[in-house]
Amino acid sequence: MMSCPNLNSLIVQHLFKNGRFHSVWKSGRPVVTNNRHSFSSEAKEIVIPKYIPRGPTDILEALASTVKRDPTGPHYKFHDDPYLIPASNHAKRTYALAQEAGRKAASWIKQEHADLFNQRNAEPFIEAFSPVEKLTESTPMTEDLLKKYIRTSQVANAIHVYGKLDSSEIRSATKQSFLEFISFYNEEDQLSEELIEERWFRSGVKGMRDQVKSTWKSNGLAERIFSGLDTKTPEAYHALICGMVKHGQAVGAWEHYNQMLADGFQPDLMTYNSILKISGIIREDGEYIISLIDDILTSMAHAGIKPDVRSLNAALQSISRMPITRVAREKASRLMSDFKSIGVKPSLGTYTSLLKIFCRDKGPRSNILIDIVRRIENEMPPIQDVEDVTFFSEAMKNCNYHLDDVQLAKRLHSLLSSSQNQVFIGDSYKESVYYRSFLLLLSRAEGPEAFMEMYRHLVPHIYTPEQNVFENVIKSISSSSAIQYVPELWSDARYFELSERDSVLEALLEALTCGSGPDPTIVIDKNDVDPVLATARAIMSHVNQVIKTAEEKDRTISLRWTGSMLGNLMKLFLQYGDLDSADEVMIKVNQLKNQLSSYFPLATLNIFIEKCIERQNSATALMAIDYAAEMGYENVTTMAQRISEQLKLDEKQQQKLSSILSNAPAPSEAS
Amino acid sequence: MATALQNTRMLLRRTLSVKKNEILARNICFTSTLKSKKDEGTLKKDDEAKEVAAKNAKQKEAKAKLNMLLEAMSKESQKAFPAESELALATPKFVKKNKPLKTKLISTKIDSEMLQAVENVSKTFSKENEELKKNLIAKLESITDESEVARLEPFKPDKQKTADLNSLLNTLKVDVKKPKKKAPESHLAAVKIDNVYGADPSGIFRNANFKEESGTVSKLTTWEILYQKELELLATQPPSNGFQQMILWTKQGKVWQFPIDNEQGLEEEAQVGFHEHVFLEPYLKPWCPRRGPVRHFMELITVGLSKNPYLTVAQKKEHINWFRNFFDAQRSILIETGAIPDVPSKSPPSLSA
Repeated sequence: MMSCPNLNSLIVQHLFKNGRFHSVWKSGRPVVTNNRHSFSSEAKEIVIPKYIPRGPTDILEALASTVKRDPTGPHYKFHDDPYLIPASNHAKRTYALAQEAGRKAASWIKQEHADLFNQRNAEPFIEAFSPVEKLTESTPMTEDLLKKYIRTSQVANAIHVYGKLDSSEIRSATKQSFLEFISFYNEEDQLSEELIEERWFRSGVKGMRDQVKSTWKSNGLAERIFSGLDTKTPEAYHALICGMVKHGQAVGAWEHYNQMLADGFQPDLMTYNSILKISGIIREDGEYIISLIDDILTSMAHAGIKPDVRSLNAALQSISRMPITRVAREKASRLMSDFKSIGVKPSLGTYTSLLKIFCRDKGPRSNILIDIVRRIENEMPPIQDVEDVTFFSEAMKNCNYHLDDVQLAKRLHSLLSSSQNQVFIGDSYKESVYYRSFLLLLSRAEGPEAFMEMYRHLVPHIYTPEQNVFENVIKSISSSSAIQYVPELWSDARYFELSERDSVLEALLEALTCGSGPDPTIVIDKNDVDPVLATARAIMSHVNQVIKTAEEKDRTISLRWTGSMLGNLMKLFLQYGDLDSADEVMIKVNQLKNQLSSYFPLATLNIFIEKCIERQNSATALMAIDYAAEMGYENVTTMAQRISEQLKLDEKQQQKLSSILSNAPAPSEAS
Repeated sequence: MATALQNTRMLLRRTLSVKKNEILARNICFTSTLKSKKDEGTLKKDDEAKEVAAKNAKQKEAKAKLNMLLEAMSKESQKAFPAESELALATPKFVKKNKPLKTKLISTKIDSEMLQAVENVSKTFSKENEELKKNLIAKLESITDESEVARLEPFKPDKQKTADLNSLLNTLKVDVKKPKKKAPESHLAAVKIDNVYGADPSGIFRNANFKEESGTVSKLTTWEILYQKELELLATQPPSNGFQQMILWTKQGKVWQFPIDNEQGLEEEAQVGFHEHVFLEPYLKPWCPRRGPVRHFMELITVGLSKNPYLTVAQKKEHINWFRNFFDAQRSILIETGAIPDVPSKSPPSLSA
């Protein structure tokens, strides 16, 4: 095949031929030696700009930075079809993982039936689409194979190959590399890099990682390799210590560290960082922790090893375990200044540790977050440490619980919203913590209109509130008597699949009664229903429906009518003059009498009876009396008397009334 | 001691001065309600005496003390109203920043409305007109000065004043509550924000002589690579738009890289010069006879191969070798048919004579 001459070289040749510019191609400074002035009268200087090497994805990243998140639509991973857009947290998780499961299924088919995919039409050939070569008994076990598995992070295969290879065949460098590999991963097989969704949702299953518990495999492969080494090189020590610290085995790491020092080896930067990290675990008292950290830092200084930002983060993590706040704060501030003096810039992980140190739950209040946010607004540090991704959720929690500062929270949110900072959100659990704190803070601090604006912006496509957050939202709306938003919240509850939780329904019904009744100035068309009234009716029919289907299918559910729910419904219906629905409620109350878990309020009952008297509806009035008598309300007799006076009762009803009265407990004191 | 009449006169003057100061203070704070206050001031003058006489008995002591306090805040009123108290109170120290010059009539520090009010007030007290006006203006200016100072600078307590204040408050038996300042918004200068770099360095690294980067870079190369990989994985999220998805695919190698280079994937081939593809004759040299049908055939093969852009050099060599082996295997037939000369040579693999 003819290889085309490089375009660059052509141009360079042309330039040299011309003889005008004796300039090096890649420099920005032309040296114009104009021996011939024949071409132009003025010697125009042409500045060739410096060549900027572009990576393969730079153009795409530039384009991506122009696209902002659109809160009115679902996330890109979901199909943009109204029927297929998820709203509840459960649905979002299911849809996203289902999509990835489809990809997994496709790659399984490709793997399983590799003989069907023989054609290689793509040029250049795409390795990612070719079946992975399985490790079988017949595969030749070579060192190169081991190296390949180390490079592609396939732990199980690498261990297998190592087991098959004779120990003497492997060069020491490869052995060292393998030791580091095993220590890093602790012999656990990793999720494939392609499974992004699973990784995104993974920590929600594990919850908060308990760092105190050690997951290091004692006497595992790494330790065996280490002990099998003839000469324990310092690198081997480093690898083992770093691995142990990463997986929580602090004691073992400390022992090996002392062993290494006894053997006369010099620790390197990574080892020092690891020991700094566990200083808080191997020493209990604050003073000892500080002295250990100081020792390590001074030995680093003596050895001439410059600490980096990870050393700072590790030291601060240890300090955050100190019991006394004042001492911890002081030491932390000093360390920050120390590291600044050697030119180490903090990363977001540093700021997270600072927050943990300065703003403890039971400690004094500290507004260090204001300074931190100011610094980040000036210059956002790049991602350098694993701890960096915990910053935003911690900071927002701080704003909410510790500082109670809405302005700061908004600044923080605008920082996160810029597209290059999206990487710092971490995973789905941290994202939910972040938005949960944000929403709770807003519901407390802002008025209903401003809050609902922000709510509509975030919910449901960026974040769906969990049950208790949603209840808080409803409560804040009801406490500010902003009843016009309650129908929207009800439809949201249905949308988020929260409408079958009794606490949510209780809160909603409570919120419905916070208003002042229908607006008399608005002329309502006969067919139009006031949204609040419509909501109440909808809730009633919905709950009835849910209970009915559960009973039919013989399922047990926790949703039950309670007295307070029915009381609120009744109150609302009476407020809006919907007496038919009020009658329905009364019938329900009568039906369920003793099964209701909370009391139907007496005041509402009285109003209802009044209305019944107005309408001369004796049946429902009797039901009300019946209920009151059963529940043992005090003024049953007075109510009954009123009814007998005001309403026309026929024979049966009279009998019933008298029987109720006779059965009623005697009123001890007249009300 | 002074007589009762003198006492009453003294008290009258004191209360008047208190009222005047009050009016001045009110005018400074609420300029919008200036006109109404001014009217009030002129009307009240007549009723003042009657009111004051009634109130005097109850509020004598308190007023006296308050007046003392007010006088402590201004030099001017001490001059205007000859000394009723014997206390030599400390006067506040001004910090004069770049303030505009005080002119006789117009001062830039107080509004024109206030100036008008001053004029009106001075007209009512027609006797001491000019002096009063001057005093009032000066008093207003001093009050604005003070408020500027108090606003811009942190409060530096004057010991003498606090001692006086304390004694005053003690005598009045008022509940002394420590003024609890609730932390207001962060834009006010008074709030102290914890600084990230609040403390001084403890000097651990003061004498440290750090080696160059290359010496201190960790020798755990694999570990470092894996750590970077983990960081990258932490930072990847499900792609939020089509461009990010394409970035992901590009990194996985599933999609062409920008800027499109149609020699992508053929980097190895780029190293191989075209002469190796075209000039294949050297591969024929060791074994092929120089003349004859075999040579002719092989030359056709080489011409074809040299024009073939789809094979690598190794593949072409492989083809030629195959032919070589083939001819070698069929040697006997070739000799029989006379394709190659029948000369038994010492080196069997070579077909040439």
